[in-house]
Amino acid sequence: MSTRFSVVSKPRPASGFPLTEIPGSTSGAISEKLVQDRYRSLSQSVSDAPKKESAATLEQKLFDALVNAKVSTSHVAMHLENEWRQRLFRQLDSLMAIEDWDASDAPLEGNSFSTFLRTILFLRPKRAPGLGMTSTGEIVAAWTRDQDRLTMEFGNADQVRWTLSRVDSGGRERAAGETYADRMEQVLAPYFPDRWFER
Amino acid sequence: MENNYGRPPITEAVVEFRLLAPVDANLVQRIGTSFNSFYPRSEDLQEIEFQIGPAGAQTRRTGLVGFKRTNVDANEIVVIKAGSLNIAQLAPYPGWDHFIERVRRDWKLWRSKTNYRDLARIGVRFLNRIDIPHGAGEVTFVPKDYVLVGPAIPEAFGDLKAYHVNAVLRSEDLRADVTLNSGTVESPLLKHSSLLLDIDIGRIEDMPKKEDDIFEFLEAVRLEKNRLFEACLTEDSRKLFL
Repeated sequence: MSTRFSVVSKPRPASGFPLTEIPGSTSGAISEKLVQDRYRSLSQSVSDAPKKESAATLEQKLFDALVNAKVSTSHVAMHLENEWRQRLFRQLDSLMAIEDWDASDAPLEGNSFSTFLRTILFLRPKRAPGLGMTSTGEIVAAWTRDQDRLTMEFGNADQVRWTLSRVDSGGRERAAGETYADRMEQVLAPYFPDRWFER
Repeated sequence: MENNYGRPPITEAVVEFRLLAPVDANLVQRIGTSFNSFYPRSEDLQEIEFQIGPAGAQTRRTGLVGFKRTNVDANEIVVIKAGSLNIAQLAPYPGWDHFIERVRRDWKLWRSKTNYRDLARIGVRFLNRIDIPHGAGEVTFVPKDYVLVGPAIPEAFGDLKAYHVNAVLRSEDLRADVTLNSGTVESPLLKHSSLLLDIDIGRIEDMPKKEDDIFEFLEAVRLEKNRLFEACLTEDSRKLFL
């Protein structure tokens, strides 16, 4: 017995809202589980592919990670201000530019990015953070105000590692911890996070 | 009507044109390339065949079936296959006028490349996700407080934790079928619950052939979609989109 399906061979981010998996009618071609054999740029010369294989693979991985991050963002875009979203995309484009990429680093982890989005939409900082990435592909957000700095590193399944350093009349205070995104508000409250989050 | 909301809950809007007779694979390739300037990113769509027999399951790739192309922000999508063209918009939804302008542009290009073949179906689908914040200490909610589509279940069963409803209805005015899906879905937001409201309107009879007639039909579908969408919502739901 032979049954024909269309399937997605490429794993999608573990969290986020899998709209394209909803069975349906009109967007059947989009809703169907389709093999993403590979993203590719049509402008790329096929004859260049063998000699640039490793570079092409890295480029493809970075591209996949970037598209996944942007699609994840689209799932919650109605809750993000346009300016915020556009800034985020510019940061992502810059973070994953192949020209500046160290080949030993891992591309952006979809689960980490999902935790980042969930945390940001939960805390709703008015100031956008600077973004960076760890060598393992986890996204890092940092807010700096004068000498005060708050950094969050986003892991899988809503885990957040944070460090902060602030100066007040009593001198410098440092703190660090690891918690879940939905606890960040309480965890940061003693350190008056508005100094980082307010414009 | 969707433009009246500051934060429309539309997560995906799709217009589909389906051909009566598919085009050949070479033409699909050429059509895909012709969309390059609008959608610079391309992804091959392959089909895989599963064979299940006494020796177990085997899979076999059967070939390229089309292309999915996206813009730089990955929220404008076109899917080109031998038998269909799908034009989709992910959130943020820019409004119907903007969306239908892109649909018209892509349709014109596709029709010229497919040599104006007859259509078998025209459909419009809007997927909405209603994100409902939990109140203080509250982790449950009553779906019918937000969406007036749901299952009828005797109270003896207790609290409703999850559901999915699928219904197909007829719109005689449009000579089209309306497919309605609604249910609970995983929320992408912390401390929220989410409901899906998915309205698909498709026509497979008396197919319009001329461009003006096709887009007149799409405009009529849009009005009907908006009417049905509003009919499914409660005031509490609408407040979430302001």
